[in-house]
Amino acid sequence: MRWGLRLFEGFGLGFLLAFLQSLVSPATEPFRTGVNWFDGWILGVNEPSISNRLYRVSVLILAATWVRALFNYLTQVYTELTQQKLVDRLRKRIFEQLQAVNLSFFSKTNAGELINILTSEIGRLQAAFGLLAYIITKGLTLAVYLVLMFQLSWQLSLISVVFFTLLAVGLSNLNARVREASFEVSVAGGKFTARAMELISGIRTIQAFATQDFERRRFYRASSGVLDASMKAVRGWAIVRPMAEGLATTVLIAMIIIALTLFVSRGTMQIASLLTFLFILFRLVPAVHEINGNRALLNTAWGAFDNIRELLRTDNKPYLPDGDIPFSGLQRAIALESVDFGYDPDLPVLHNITLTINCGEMTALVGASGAGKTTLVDLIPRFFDPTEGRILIDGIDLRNFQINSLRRKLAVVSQDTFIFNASIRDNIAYGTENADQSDISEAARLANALDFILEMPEGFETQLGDRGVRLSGGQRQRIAIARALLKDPEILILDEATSALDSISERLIQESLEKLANGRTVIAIAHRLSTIVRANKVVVLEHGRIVEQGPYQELLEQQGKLWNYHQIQYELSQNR
Amino acid sequence: MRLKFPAFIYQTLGVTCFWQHNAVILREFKHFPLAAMLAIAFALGAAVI
Repeated sequence: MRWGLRLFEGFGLGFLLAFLQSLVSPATEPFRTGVNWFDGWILGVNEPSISNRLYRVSVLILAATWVRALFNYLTQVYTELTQQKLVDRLRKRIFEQLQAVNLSFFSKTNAGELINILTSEIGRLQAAFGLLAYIITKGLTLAVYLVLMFQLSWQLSLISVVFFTLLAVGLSNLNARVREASFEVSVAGGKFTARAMELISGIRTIQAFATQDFERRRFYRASSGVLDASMKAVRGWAIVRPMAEGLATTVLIAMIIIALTLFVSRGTMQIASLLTFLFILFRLVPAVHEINGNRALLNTAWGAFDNIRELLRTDNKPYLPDGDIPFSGLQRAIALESVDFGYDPDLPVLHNITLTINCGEMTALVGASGAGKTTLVDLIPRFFDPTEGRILIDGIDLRNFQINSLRRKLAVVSQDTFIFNASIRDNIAYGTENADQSDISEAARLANALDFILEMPEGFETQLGDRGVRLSGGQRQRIAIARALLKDPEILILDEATSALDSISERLIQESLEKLANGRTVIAIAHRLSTIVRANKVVVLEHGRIVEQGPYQELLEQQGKLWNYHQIQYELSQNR
Repeated sequence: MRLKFPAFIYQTLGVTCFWQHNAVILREFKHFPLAAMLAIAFALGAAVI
């Protein structure tokens, strides 16, 4: 006992033993730790008055309680700080992962599931670490209790350890079931988020097709899926604590009976020691309950651990290796040499593409939907790498250039322009650091956007809402063109930039595109042939292969594929 | 602040199933060792008192 109290010199439970001894057996020799100054000054063993010794020890117990309260507070503060820092780092790591992976990853992964991981699953993981911290804290307390118990009675302590180990083993089966159920909660959560996202982003289509009932059924099913999976997990972990409590109380009663009959009645244990032992055991049992309950609850977060770990894995995701050479600008030409590409390696989209795009010229890609036009232009900014063949810029393989330096010299204007939920100014200046107001206004003017911007209530400061809901399709396109103009790219990719617009918007945008294209290398995917009459080269694609290429007029004169497209569009315009 | 723990700590942790499964997450703790160690130190203090 003395060794134990020297280890935890003067601390709470040791004081309690001194207190109980003074109270229960005042006539016996006062309790000593063996450290003279401590016994004399702190415990007051030389104090003749028993009541004075009691007061002294009472004050010490109170002091220990308050210091423990302070330490508990600090534990909570630093535990929360650690959790928050962990979550912050994980969020940032997921961001870096999402930035680093190849775009093909996103075509195979559900956006709703990714958002679910970044929000709900991270939240579950944070809660799980809270529980883990609690288990560690309580575990430390248990370790201290155990040391003290062994000092008081190693026999009783051994019996306790055996009983509680059996209890823990029994409960671990229940915990395993809870862990399995937690994976189902994660899967159901991901499905629900995906469904909710589709509902919100596709609300116009849903209403236009009057499919509210169909969507209601799907949404309700997803929501019920979360409910069912959660309840399965809850039923699992909720049973752990009451089971643990019932069993532990049974063990406790058994311990008291054993102690009284085997040790106290035979005089091998003092009543003060037994009281202290039981006091510790009474504090230990709820701690064991809490640990078991929290272990079960922790298991409900196992699915979140699994999802986050899987997302952060790098060995099963596609990455684009970055090059070393900074891209300083296009001098001569972009050359595609026998390029093949497929999003799925077994299903090629582009076959044997050999093409030269000269610097300062306009190259137009023409073809039916699904011919591979967008896929081909996506290879230039290295959204994807060819599966076969190579792309050279001024004779250097595209893969040798630093991706960011390449993309900084390049702009893409597509029919599906992304507008950020920010002001018009921020949307135009997106990607161009240090742009001043005069540059932004000039870009807007050249893009034929200045008039409608100035008519808006707050001009350039007008907030555009999610995906630019406050703008028409033509206005969104002009913002995108202004953004590209401000970036002043050397290579410009126009991916059917006017195809979804009415004729007035198209005329305005065609004008601004011509200003944008002036003096740059342009690769244009054309829906309407009228927009590419001035192209230096036209490339006709069919089923992922180049079937014709050459100057516009020459191809028309050959009366081949381009001529066919030309005839179809001419007939359509005559029929209107 | 990054902290390099002695090898035996990694070896000890490495044998646990929890660490093996979640090392990619748990390794993040080495980026904020002070907060994590203070949390454990105060927890230990509260346990001992």
